[in-house]
Amino acid sequence: MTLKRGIWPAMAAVAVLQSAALGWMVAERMTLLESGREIVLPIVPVDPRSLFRGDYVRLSYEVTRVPGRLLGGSVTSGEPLYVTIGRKPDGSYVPVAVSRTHPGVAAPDEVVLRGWLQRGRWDAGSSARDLFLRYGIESYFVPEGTGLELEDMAREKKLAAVVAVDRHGKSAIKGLMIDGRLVYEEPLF
Amino acid sequence: MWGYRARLERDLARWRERGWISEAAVQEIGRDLAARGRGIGLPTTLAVLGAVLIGFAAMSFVAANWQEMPRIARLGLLLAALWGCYGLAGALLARGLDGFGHAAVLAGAGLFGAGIMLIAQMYHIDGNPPDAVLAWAAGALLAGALLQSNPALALAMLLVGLWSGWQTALVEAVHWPFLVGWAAVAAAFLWRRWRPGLHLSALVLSAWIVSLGYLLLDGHAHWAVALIGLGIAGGALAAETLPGIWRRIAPAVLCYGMAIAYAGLFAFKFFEKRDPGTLALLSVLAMAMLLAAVFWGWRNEHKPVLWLGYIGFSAEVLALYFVTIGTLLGTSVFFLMAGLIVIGLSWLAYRLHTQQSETREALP
Repeated sequence: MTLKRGIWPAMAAVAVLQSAALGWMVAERMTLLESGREIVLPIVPVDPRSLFRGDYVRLSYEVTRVPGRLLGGSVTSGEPLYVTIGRKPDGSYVPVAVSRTHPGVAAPDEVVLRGWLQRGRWDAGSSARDLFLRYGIESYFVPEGTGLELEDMAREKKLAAVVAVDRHGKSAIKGLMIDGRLVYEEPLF
Repeated sequence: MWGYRARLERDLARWRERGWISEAAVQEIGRDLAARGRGIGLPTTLAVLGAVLIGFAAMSFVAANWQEMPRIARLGLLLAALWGCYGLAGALLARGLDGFGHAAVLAGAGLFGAGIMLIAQMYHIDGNPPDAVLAWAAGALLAGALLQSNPALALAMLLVGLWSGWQTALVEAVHWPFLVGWAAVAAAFLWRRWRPGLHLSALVLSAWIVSLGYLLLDGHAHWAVALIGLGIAGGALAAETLPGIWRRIAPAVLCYGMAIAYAGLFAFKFFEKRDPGTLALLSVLAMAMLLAAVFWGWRNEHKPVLWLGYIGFSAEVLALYFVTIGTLLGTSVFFLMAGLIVIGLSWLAYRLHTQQSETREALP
């Protein structure tokens, strides 16, 4: 257990590498929020009782549910799926295509989101079930004890999330809108 | 260690009273014990527990999402605490206070995890939680390997288990990458020659092997788990005859193999539908295996195997009682036969024992 010589370089290496890892995570998110394409996704009203769990809000979108006919074969929740969503005249988005690889440049009124099956596996053959996906933008953390406030607002008004999407399909929440007004805006850091 | 010392002191007092050994010998043995028996002391244990509490304090601090302080300041605070922990660890290790130093390293590794959680919260990241656990495990492994810190390596192993368990729960399929993470941390334990860490590795790997029974072949692979366990136990028995390190680790490996085999057999018998005849036959096999383990543990004075045998036997009997073999009457007959056979074995063991004592007394 003697590591007296060289203890300081090793200690500094651990502290620097761990800090760098944390710093890289922050930088990656900042780039995504800053340079990603911004879209507004309406949030599907779910049972308000189950909408807020503890100190974070569980968000569900119209694009969470993807028609099974858009994808053939089978998929497990470990593999990424790329969902092309198209903008409707009312401003909401609907899934128009699903693929296993990024389809490349999308049309002006379309955005590609990277998502995963929420759990388990899905087979096209077994039934025409819809796919339930997660995109990594399903949790919204709120200060301790303020979940109920947001829940009350969500019950009466239209809730939407401002989402940044980069060219790889990665997405992040930038803020929340209620009745078209930005109520929670995320600072970059 | 404590139990051994207390027992030895009692025995020494008795032997001294009977005049078999001199007072001087008792003193010498006492000095030898004091010199050698420096295991993990109470101060170190408390320091490590304190570090664990600090880690939980940091995680709760993140979870509270306290708004009085900007998020970037909270991240700065966590980073400062992380650097503080490693600085303190360096100072303590430089002074030879290894126990406290490694507790500080553990606290640092814990704060790294809290930092990951805070960033996930800051940006509402809800990607794949196991990925965050994996990043934490990598950080703990880095600290454990570079700073030769056993507690941080133990944290890394627990996190590898959590990562794999979480991923398995989400995907509902065997998580093969577990083996890579497990091997990395286990190799570090091997390099450190830290026995408790190797036991922890064996425990985590055993749990993973048992989980295969529920995941492979649509959840009907329990028989394969039982065979793997029997193979490991058989290998351990064979290794007993080899010299050196193999012989020394054999009893522990036997324990894990037995536990895996029995867990697989238990699931195979009780969690799937079996007709009464098969159930009775398999139960006889299981009981024979457990009695053999009890016998082996008794003969080799290896308490863990002995106790595993007793525990498995009790689990078997209780489960059979609740499942019933065909009818309640059938179960009753089964228990009666089993009871008579075990009592017969006990009588046989008693005869063998007295015969051995007689021959030993005739020898002198």
